[in-house]
Amino acid sequence: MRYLLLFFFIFGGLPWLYAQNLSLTQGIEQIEQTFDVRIFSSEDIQAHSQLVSIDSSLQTAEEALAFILSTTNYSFLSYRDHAFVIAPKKQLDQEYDQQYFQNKSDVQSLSQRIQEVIPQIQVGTSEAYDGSNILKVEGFISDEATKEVIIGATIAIQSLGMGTMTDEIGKFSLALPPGEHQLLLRSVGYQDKTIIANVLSAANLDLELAKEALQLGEVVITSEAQNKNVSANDIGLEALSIEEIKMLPSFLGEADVMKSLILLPGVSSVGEGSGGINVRGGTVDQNLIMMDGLYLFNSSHVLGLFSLFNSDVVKKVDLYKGSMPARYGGRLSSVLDVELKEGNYQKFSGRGGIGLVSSRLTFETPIQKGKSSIIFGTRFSISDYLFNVIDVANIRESSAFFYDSNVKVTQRFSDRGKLSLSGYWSQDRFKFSSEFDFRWRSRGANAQFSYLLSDKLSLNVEGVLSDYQSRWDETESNRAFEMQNGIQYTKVRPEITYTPSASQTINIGMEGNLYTVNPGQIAPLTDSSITIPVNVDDEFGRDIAFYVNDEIEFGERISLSLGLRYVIYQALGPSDVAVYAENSPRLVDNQTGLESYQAGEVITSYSGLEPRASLRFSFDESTSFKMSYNRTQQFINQLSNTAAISPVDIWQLSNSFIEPVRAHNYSVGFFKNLANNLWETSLEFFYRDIENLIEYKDLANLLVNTHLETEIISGIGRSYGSELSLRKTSGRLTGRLGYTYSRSERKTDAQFLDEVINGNNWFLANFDRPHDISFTMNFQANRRNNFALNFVYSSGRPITAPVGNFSTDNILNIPVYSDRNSFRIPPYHRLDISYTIGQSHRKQQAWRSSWGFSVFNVYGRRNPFSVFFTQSAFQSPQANRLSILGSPVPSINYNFNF
Amino acid sequence: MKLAFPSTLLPVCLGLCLLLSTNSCIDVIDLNTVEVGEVLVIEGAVYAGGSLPSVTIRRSGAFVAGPDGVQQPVSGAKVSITEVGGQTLELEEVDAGIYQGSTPIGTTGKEYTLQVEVDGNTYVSLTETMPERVALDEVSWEVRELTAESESGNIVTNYQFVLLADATLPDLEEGPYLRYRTESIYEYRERSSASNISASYCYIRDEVDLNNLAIIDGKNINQGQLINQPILSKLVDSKFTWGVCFTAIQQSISANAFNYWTSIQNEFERTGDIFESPPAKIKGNIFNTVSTKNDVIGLFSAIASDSVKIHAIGLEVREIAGRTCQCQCWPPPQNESCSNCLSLSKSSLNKPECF
Repeated sequence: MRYLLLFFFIFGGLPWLYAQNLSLTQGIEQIEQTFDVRIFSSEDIQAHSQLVSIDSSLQTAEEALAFILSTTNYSFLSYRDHAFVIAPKKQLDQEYDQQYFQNKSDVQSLSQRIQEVIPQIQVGTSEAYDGSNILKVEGFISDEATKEVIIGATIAIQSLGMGTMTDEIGKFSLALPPGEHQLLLRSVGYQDKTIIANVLSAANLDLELAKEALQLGEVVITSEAQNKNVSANDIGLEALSIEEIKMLPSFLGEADVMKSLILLPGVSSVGEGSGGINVRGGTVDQNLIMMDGLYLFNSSHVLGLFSLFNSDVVKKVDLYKGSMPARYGGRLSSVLDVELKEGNYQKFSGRGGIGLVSSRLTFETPIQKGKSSIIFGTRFSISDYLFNVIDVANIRESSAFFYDSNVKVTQRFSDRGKLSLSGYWSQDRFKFSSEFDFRWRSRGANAQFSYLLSDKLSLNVEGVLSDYQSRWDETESNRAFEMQNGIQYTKVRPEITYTPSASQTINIGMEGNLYTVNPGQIAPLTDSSITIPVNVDDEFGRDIAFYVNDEIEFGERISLSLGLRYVIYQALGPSDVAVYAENSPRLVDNQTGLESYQAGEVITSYSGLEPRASLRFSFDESTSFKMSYNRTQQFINQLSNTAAISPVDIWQLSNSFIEPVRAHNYSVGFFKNLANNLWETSLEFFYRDIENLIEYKDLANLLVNTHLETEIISGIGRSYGSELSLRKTSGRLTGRLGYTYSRSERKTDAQFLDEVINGNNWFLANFDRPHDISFTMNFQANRRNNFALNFVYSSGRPITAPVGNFSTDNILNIPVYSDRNSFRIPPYHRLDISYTIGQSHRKQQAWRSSWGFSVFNVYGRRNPFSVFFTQSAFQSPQANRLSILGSPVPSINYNFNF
Repeated sequence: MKLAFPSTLLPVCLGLCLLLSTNSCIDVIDLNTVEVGEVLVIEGAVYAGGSLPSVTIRRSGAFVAGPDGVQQPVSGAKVSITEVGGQTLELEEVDAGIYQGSTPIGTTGKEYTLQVEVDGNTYVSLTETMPERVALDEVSWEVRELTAESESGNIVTNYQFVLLADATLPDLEEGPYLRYRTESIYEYRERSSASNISASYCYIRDEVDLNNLAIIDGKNINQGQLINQPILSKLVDSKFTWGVCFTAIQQSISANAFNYWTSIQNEFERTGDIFESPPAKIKGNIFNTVSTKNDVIGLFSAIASDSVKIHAIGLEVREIAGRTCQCQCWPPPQNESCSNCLSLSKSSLNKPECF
C-alpha cells in the first residue's frame, strides 16, 4: 500500500512541460505553467473529451494555445499581455468583432499556421477522378528514417468511423469518399501522426512514421496508441518497443529484453543467475521464445545475467500472456515474439555501445537503395580481458565470455512482396579456474517470404533451421567428465491472410517442425576419472499443425477472435524403447525387454484440437471487458528439477512414456483508461488447468540417464491469479505499477508407494511466488536528460527444508526433510536507478552519443537465490543463503550512432 | 555463526560473484523451519552366516537438536520377518526400540520381507533377496600427505591414514552392491614411572567409521577387479602410536539398500549448488501401507558379509606421518589413562589376535 501511495504522490505531484494525449484542461494548465500566463475559460471546457498535444517547437503561449485548440471548437483571445480567454469559436465570432480585439487577426494567422502544422497531402488528381463515390487509396507505411515498412500500423479516420491496418508487407488499403479526410496513423514504437488527405481520385499513398519521440529527442513519451490497451482485441498482450526497454535501468548498462519483461505484471523469474521467465505461473520451458520466427531453447548469456537479444537489432517485442492466436503453438503458457529490424533502405548507418562487461556494434545499409538492405549486429563480452590483468590465478584462468551476431538481408519485390533472410549465432563460455567449464552455442537461420496475392489476400512463408548445443566440463574432481547435449529443429510455416473487409482478418496456415534431440553423452575427462562413459541415443520427433484464425469486429464495441489449431505429433525411430513390467513401478529393475524401431518408424503418435477464442466488449472508448480461452499442447519439455534453469538442462520430446503436456487457459480482464488515456488501468484474472505435467520423483537424477522415464511421473497442475496494472502513459513522468497474485500448484496420483509425492496432495511448484510487485518510473527532465527507476518485490520461492534429523547405523544426523516445497526462502526485492545523458539533436551532427549511468540493486539487498542446508560432521545443520548479487552494482556505458 | 563454504558450490558462486564484483555469495541465516512432526525410523536386517535378525525402531529428532537430539525408541511394536514361501519369524523387543529374532534365518537367494505394526499403521518393506557373499581378498593401508590452507593462510600438512580393499567381483547382471564397515582396536600403553612400574597395554575398541559411508556399485568397476579401493580415511593421530588393528567388513547388499545409502551419501555431499537436485525426505524400502503419508524412513536389508583383519603397525605409520604420542610425550601428559588405561572407555587388557 505504501508503494501505491508513493506512486500516486509522485505522479500526481510533479508538473510536466511537454506532452501529448492530454485533456484540454491539462493542456491549458501546462501552458499556464510553462509561459507564466493566466488563462480563463468556461467550465464546459472540462467536459471536452478530445485529447490534445503540445509540441515542443512552439515558442509562445499564443502558438501553444492555437495549437492545442486547433482540433477543437474553441478559440481564444488575449487580454493585455499575460492573460487569455478561451471560448467557443462561434461565441467569439458572434459577440466580438475585429476592432474589439486587437489580436484577433493574430488568432487567424495562427490558425493558418496550424494548418501548416498538420500536413496536407493531395491524393490523386482531379483529372483521374472517375466519378465514383468510393475511391480506393492504398500504399505502404514505412519508417521515416530507414524506409523499413511497418507491419500492423493502423490508420483511423474518425470522421468516417473507420480504419485499417497494414499487412505483413506493410501495405494498407482504404475505400474513401472524395474530399478531405483527417487520417491518424499509429504504430507501436512510433509517434502518432495526423495528416489531412485531400482525395481527388483513386491513387497510391505512401506514408511514413517517425520513431517514437523518445528516441528522436522529442519530449513526448508514449509507445502505444492512446487507448490500445482498451481497444486491442488481445487480452494479456504486452507490446514493448525497444525504446521503452532501453530507457529502463539495466544490469551493467545492457538493455535487456528478458529483464524488462520481468517488470510486467504476471511475469517473474527465479532471480539472478537463472535464465528464462515464468509467465502466469508457468514453467520456463512453457514459453515459446521466438526471434524472427526462430525458436530459442536458451535465451540467456552468462547463466541468465544477460539475454540473447541484442537491443540494437530488436524492433518490437510482443508477449502473449493470455489470448494466443492460432498461428502460435507448441507451448502452454505464453509466446514471446521478438521481431528484428530490417536494414536501412536509404543510407549507411550504425550504432553501438561500450559497457563494462560487453560492447556492441550494428551496421545497416541499403544494398540497392529503396529495394534491398542488410543489417548486421554483434555483441561481445570484454570481461575476459579484465580477468586476464587481475593478479589472482583463479580469476586469470576464468572466463565469462559470450558473443552473439545477427544478420538480416531483405529484398523487396515491387510493391507486393518481400524476402528476408536472417541468421543468428551466439556462443558462451562460463568457466571458473580449472574447476568447471560451461559452453553453449545457438545457431539459426530463417527465410521469410511475404507476397500480396491480391488486395485481400497475402501469402507468408517461413522456413527455419536451428541448432543448440551445450557442454559441461567438470575438470578437477575425481569424477572429471565432459557432458554434452543439444537440439536441432527445422520448421516450415506457410500462411495465407485473407482480409475480406477492414473489420475482418482470416489467417489460414500450417506449421511443421522436425526435432532431433541429443539427450546427452558423458565421458571421463582424465585417465583417473571414475566417470563411466554413457551415451544416450538421439531422439526424433515431428509435429504438423493446421490452423485457422478469424478476427472480426462487430461495430465499435465488439470484436471476436476465433481460432482452431489441430496438431499431430509423432515420436520417431530409430530407437530402442524399454518395456517395463505391468502393475509395477517404472524402475530399471522392472524392465522386461526392449522394443526396437527403425529410422523414421513411428513409435507413438498424439494429436489434438486446440480451440482459441477471445472476445472484447467495449463499453465506451475508454472502457472494455475482454476474455479468452486457449487450449494448448506441448510436445517438447525442458527437464530440470532445480530452481535455476541452466544451459545444460536437457530437452525431452514426448514419447511412449511422456505424453504431451496439455492445458486449458482462461483469462478475463477489465480495462479502464482515465483522464483521457493519461492513466491506463487493468485488472485481469487467469486460470490454467494442466494435464500430463512432468513431475520428478524425489532425488531424481536427470543427467545423462538412459532410463529417464524412471525418474519422472505424470501429474496435473493448476495456475491461477490476478494482475493489477496502473500505468501513466504520457507526460514527462511516465511509469507503471503492477501487482500480481499468482499461484502455481501441482499434484501427482502415484499408484506405487515409492513414487508418492506429498501424499498425493497438491503442492507448490518451486517457482510459486504469490505476491509480485513491480514499479517503474521514467522521468524525462528535458530532451537530453532522463532518469529511470525500477523497484521489484516478490515473495520468496518455495523450498524443501529439513524439519528433523535421524541417525542410522554408523551415520549420524541425517536431515529429515519436509514435504516438497513446504517452506519459503525470504522475499526478493531490489531497486535499480539509471540516468542517461542523451544525444545531441542537431540534425547535421553525424556522430551522436549518449552516456548511461546505472546502479543495479541500489541498497545492496542480498536476495537469496536459494537457501540450502549443510551439516558438518557432529554439528547441527545450518541454513545457508546463496546470493548472486550481494551489493550494489554500478555501471557506466557509452552509446553512439551515426 | 561461522561461514561454511562447500567445495562444489564455491567455484560456481565465486564465478558469478567475480563477474558481479560482489563481496560474498553465501552467509548463514536463521530460517524458521517449524517442526512438522516426527517420522518413524526403522532399520532392520537379516544376515547370512548365523547372526540374528534385528530391527531398531525410533522416532526422528528435532532439526535444531543436532547431534545430541534425542531419538525416542519406539516400544510395543509388532515386528515380524517373513521368508517368502517359508516361515514368519516374530521378533521380540530385547531393549527399548530394539527387536531381535530368536534364530538366524538368512540364506543366500531367499527372499525376505519385514512388517512392523505400530500406532495403528502397518509398515511393510519391499522384498529383499539375500545376495551372494562377495569375498574380500585383501586389505592394505597407506598414509597420504594432505596439504591445506589454514584459516590464517598458512599451508598446513596433515597425514591421512587410508584403508584399501581388494576384491574380485562376480559378473552379475547388476551389482554386486557393496558396503564397507570398519571396526578398529588400537593399542594404548601406559607411561612407566616410579608410581607405575608395570605399565599396562590396553586394547581399546574405537568407533572408527562413525559417519564413514563407503559404498560401491560393482557394475561400475572395470573388469570386476576392485583394487586399492579406499574404504576408510582417517587423520593420523595418537591412536596410531603403537598400532591399530582394523577389521574391514565387506557387506553384500541389495540394490534397494545401495540406493538408500546413496541417498544418504548425497545428502552429506549437498552443497546448495544452483544446479543441484532439490532435497527430499530419504526413502528406503519400507512404506506405510495404511496411508500415503510419507511418515517413515527405513531400510530393511539382507546382508552377506566377509571380513579381513589387518594390523597397522604404529612404527610403520610413524615413519611416514612423523611422531605421535600417547603418554610418552614430554612434558608428560597428566592424563589418568597414562597410569590406568582401563579408565578409557571400551578398553580391555585382552590382546586381540591381530596384534
